[in-house]
Amino acid sequence: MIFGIMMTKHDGEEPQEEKTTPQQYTLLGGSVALFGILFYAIQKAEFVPAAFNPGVDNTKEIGLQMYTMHVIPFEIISLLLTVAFIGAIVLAKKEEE
Amino acid sequence: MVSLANSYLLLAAILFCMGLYGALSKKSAIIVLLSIELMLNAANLNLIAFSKYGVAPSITGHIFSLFSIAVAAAEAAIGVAILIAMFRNRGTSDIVDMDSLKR
Repeated sequence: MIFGIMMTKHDGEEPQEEKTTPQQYTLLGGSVALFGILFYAIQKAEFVPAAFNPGVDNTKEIGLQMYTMHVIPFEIISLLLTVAFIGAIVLAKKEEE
Repeated sequence: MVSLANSYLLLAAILFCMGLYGALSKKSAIIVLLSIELMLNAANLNLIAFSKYGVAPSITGHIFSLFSIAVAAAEAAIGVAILIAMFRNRGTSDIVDMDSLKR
């Protein structure tokens, strides 16, 4: 995320004021309406208090679960990450001319 | 009843709406990527909150959110790589100029 922020342009030389189009107002209204609906739903919801047993050591518990019950998804995720990063490198590397 | 779960869910809703607005309205592609990350993090927050306050609380939500963080990392890497290639070929990182599929 920090790299993303560093890549944005913030040399305030050209102000280039962004015109707010009618679509943007509609979008703002839609977002606020969505938030209103979510707010209403969250306030209406009732949560059944249930006992949560996080284990003695939360991190250790997560690790144990991940390597016992979720081994296959873990392997698939690692494969996906490898493929994605190799693809990103291939996409972004300089093409020789 | 105002419990702690409500505040988690409210924070996630605020994050999601901010991300939605940013992803749909901004013109810089990098800010759009950041907004998508914001929405993904809102979903992760919901997963964590429900893994503690949900009907069947268990630690599986934490593992799900770890997996989704991994997928988000892959998505961000691919997105930035596509942006770099786009900027090299077209010389712009503006969303409005990315319309070659329309023509």
